[in-house]
Amino acid sequence: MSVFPDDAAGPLGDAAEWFARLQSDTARESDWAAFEAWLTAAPANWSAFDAVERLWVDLDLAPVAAASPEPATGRVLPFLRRPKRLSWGVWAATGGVAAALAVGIISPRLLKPAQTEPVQTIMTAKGERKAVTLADGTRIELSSGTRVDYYFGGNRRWAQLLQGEAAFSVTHDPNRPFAVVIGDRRITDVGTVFDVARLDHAVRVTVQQGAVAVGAAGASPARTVVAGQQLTHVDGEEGSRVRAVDTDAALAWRSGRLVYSDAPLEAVVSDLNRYFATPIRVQNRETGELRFSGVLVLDGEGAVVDRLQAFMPVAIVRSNGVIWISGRR
Amino acid sequence: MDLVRFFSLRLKSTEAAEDLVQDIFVKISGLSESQIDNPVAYLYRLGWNMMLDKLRQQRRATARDGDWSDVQHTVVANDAVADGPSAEDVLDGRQRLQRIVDALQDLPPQTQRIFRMHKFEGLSHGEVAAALGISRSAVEKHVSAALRHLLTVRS
Repeated sequence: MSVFPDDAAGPLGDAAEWFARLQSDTARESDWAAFEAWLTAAPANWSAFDAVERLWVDLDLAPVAAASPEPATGRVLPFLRRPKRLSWGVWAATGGVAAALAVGIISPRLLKPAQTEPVQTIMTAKGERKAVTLADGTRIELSSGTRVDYYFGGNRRWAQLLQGEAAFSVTHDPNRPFAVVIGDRRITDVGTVFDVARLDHAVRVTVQQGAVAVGAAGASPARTVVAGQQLTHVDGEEGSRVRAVDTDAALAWRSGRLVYSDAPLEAVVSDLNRYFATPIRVQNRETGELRFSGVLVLDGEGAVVDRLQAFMPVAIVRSNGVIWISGRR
Repeated sequence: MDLVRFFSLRLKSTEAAEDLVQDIFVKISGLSESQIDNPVAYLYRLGWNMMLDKLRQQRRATARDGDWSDVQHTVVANDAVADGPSAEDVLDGRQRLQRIVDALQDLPPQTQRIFRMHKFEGLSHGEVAAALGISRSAVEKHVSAALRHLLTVRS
């Protein structure tokens, strides 16, 4: 697979492929044996592989730009320096032929797609809460309708929050940093208690103790969020917003309560929909902008909705399996 | 195949290979085997990355001294011996690095992103795959495609 027509081919191209293959965590002993056979088959292979290794270590010496984040997601890179290039798609198509030829010398198994297996998948159903303590002492509390995949390997620990909300109390280990991947963000702990929520089109990180670093999943500079702060990142956007919050309130779900101070009804409803089975909808935008302050005990959907009706100028209508909330005039 | 033989080939010295293999076993003494997918392959990768670390130190020293000759792997085997620079191979280091950075920026966004996550953030292929919701073999292909392109910047 080549991106540009003049990209390395022949022994050098093969060496690049071997390099990537051996760096992969799917490489097996038999791959190393096959690599040794390739390496010793021709002096050209040997020097080609040396060249890839030099490139690899030289990249670490390259100016900071090499490690700086790419432009915002979705922005097209300006292709100015190399006018002769074609689109990736076109080269992927023609490159396929070259790749197929190059593959002839590699075992076919090398190209078999592999799936990463989490060490542990922890899930909760709607309305369920669960706490799990990992072998290293790290505690993960899952809110309703949440899925966390936990991975462990080499010198890294990390979890991916695919949906819902979870609070992490991380046992710090400088040799094995703990990271959480959520949406297009990556959160790295600095020894701490924090909460991560997957919202409809955003990611929310609340830090109760210590500090975390939050950055784009594909970039290195990260923003530090400290205790008492909450970061909200809208999917696909470059920046994030950080504000001070009452973290006890933000993490109150752990004891079956939701605490709000001057929150739009829309946000309350969005939270409730994560906890309860029957979908709740707000009739119109005006109603969604009504403010709510107070504590909701999550004892049952009917009871919670009735309480909203008692404390806010809203009316509840149940129809066709949906609970509608509309403004009362 | 065994580790010492393999690294003897790479390092062109049995003694250096024995030292390296010793270091590998020191490094893994704290790990439990059950946490590693392919234990033998893991040992090779670990040893290889230690080799690359050593090469990196040399390249760094060379960069500092302003001599960007082709550092050969014989140097890895024996710290004291460096091959003399050949005139054609000498290239201004900064210029070469800048050209590598430029070449990196030529790559399609997805290839760049994958390469950066693996190379600069130190994520394994499996971790990159999971973070981006693609297969590990796709990550491998992007990494090798990126290398093929970066290799057009020759010294």
